[in-house]
Amino acid sequence: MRSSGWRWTRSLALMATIALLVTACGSGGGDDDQSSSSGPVELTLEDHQKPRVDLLRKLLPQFELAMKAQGKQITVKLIEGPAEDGAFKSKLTLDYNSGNAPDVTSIGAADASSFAASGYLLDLTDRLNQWPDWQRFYQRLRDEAVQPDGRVYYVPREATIMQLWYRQDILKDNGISTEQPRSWQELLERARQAKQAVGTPTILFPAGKQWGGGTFGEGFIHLMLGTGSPLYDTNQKKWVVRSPGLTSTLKFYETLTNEGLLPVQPLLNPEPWVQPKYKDFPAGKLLIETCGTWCWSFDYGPNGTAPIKDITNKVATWNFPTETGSGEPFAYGATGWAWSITQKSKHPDEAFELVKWLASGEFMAQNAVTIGAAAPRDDLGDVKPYSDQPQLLEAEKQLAGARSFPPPEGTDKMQQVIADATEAVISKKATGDEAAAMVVDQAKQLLGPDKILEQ
Amino acid sequence: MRPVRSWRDVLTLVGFLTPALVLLAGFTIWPAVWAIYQSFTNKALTGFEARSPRFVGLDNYVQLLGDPDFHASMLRTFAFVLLSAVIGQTIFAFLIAYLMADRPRWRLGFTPLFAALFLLPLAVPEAVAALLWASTANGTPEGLLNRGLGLVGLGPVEWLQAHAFETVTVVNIWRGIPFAMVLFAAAIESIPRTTLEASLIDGASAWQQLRRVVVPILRPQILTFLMLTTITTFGIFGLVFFLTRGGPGNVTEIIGIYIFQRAFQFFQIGLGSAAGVLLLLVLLALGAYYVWLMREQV
Repeated sequence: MRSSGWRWTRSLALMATIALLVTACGSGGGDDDQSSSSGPVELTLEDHQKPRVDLLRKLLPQFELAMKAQGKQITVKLIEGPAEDGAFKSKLTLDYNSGNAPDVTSIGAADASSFAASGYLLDLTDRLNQWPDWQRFYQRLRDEAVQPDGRVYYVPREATIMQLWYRQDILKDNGISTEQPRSWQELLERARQAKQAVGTPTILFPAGKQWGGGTFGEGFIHLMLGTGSPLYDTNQKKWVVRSPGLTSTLKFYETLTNEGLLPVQPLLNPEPWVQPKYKDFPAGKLLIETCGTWCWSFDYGPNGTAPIKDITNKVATWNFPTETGSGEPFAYGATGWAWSITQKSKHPDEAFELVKWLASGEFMAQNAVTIGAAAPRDDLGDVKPYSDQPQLLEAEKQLAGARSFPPPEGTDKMQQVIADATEAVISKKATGDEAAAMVVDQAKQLLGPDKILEQ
Repeated sequence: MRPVRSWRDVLTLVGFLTPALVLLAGFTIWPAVWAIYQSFTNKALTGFEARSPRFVGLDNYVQLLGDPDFHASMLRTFAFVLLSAVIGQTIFAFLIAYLMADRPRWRLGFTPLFAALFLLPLAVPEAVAALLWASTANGTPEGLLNRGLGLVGLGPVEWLQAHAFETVTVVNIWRGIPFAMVLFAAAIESIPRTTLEASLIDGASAWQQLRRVVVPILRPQILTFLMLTTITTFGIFGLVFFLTRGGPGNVTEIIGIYIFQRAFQFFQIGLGSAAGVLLLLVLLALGAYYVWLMREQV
């Protein structure tokens, strides 16, 4: 019989062997320490939603070939995130926070300020300044990309033009004017007439908590920008959480709710867009809604979620009216999604090569068509298939005169505040005035008293 | 049991306990301690608080205790636990188990078939169960429940809009019955047949037998199940989130969803952690109450 000492020795030897193997695998199993471009590099790229991911999967080999032609061995591993925007943002945020974010990610431009303030994104300013193509991006989009610290952390992937979409066929059939409404009152009058004609709630401005960030970005902000009151004071770098315009905006939701013009019940449900946007609007029950260029293909195009046949004859767009009608109606134009590089990327130079490729030429043209977006740069008008899309080209022209709200730090918290306030209004738990008071209280709590202003 | 006498015994004991202790420490105790620590900070996943969180003392707790949404969510959760777990699952599961048990003067035919049918919900993953009910409770005339109503000339009903809380309560009863039934069936089968026969000889009716003999004997098992189901139901998230996401409005925003939203949608980890700690305290209190009840002798 062997002694217990022999068993201990054998156990120790086994543990030492395992430790050595683990160490060996750890040091040789990856290329974590490679930061130069001398060896093969595998980049990770994360995007979401099938059409975008399919396009990347199809065209990324071209990037790899282009890099090979330059003597660089770069491959890209594509990661598909959750399809829903909110879930995708949550995953990205957790990935960033845990230090596991892919090298390159698609982010909503509205989230850039909070991601940048969190230290998650790589500062691209110097690289962009040395990239001649950067000057081809529209000036206003470049300006809006500059964060409060004066640095740029993303490259626009697309320009989103948002307007009011309306069913011109049904309005005309019922003798309702399709002229551009210039004030909220005129818009309300159209919605009232439409409701009388079809008997259902007829106008949709996203509201409530279930729509997530869309309540702010696809509904509230288009009203707020028409009031003349600022929502953010760029000089003092503070949110203006009480103003006549903000109260008017919440009162507008109150009017829509009280008169039964807004489809309230669907707005309170999970996936609140499904019923009004994908069922009621194509069916001609909902006649006016806020929508962006993506609706031409992503939502209502032949391969969209809810195709509308002969859409160009049935649907047309208005600009957003102003509160009193004193200013010109306007379209909303801004960067929608953008490309960014994680601060912790081991291969920032190679990642920037990928971002440049994604933000140029054929890929950007195909991307714009696939997701129904306007080009964020001025030299894609001749690049197929984008050049074959008259609606997108027309939308791109609107970019110059459009209004927008460059999202400052704290936008994610303000989105939450507005979601809660509008939900209180549409569920009739608060009037517009009461909801305005809620905004002050909640903003004070979430943003801190030193980051807000009252007018 | 042989007492621990030698170093070898100690090593054996430690060897067997260590894997479980490591897992417990790594996946239960450490996260709980970390959450308690986070609850005293303003840690967030975005913004400046993500970069440099700071100690805020009891601010998160003060904010929660003054938040009407938190109060409403806790009350809603208590109602959900009471209706779906304490009353629904326990009573229905006990009755089903009692009916299927082989007792003096009572034998139900096709018991294995019924048992298999009642066990089916246990075999369905949570997400699948939620999708199944989302389809069943669909508010259109094509939804399964509405088709049933249509046969008698009623409906359609918007189950997940007009009756969302009631619907998720029923779904949770459906989901929890199999486990409870298995537990109660085993407990009922363990009652000596002679005890039940004696009660019948003494002239006890079926109801009296249940109330005066069966339930008192099974008191420890019933209380054990109640404790387990209370704790797990307080922590329910997926089933309700997949069905309603806490809506419409806040109607089904139970505490699990409240915490998820604060921590992972609004990225306020400190606040979400504080809510989790308060939930932990509530569960500890309830657990202690159940343990105290179990100490009472029949």
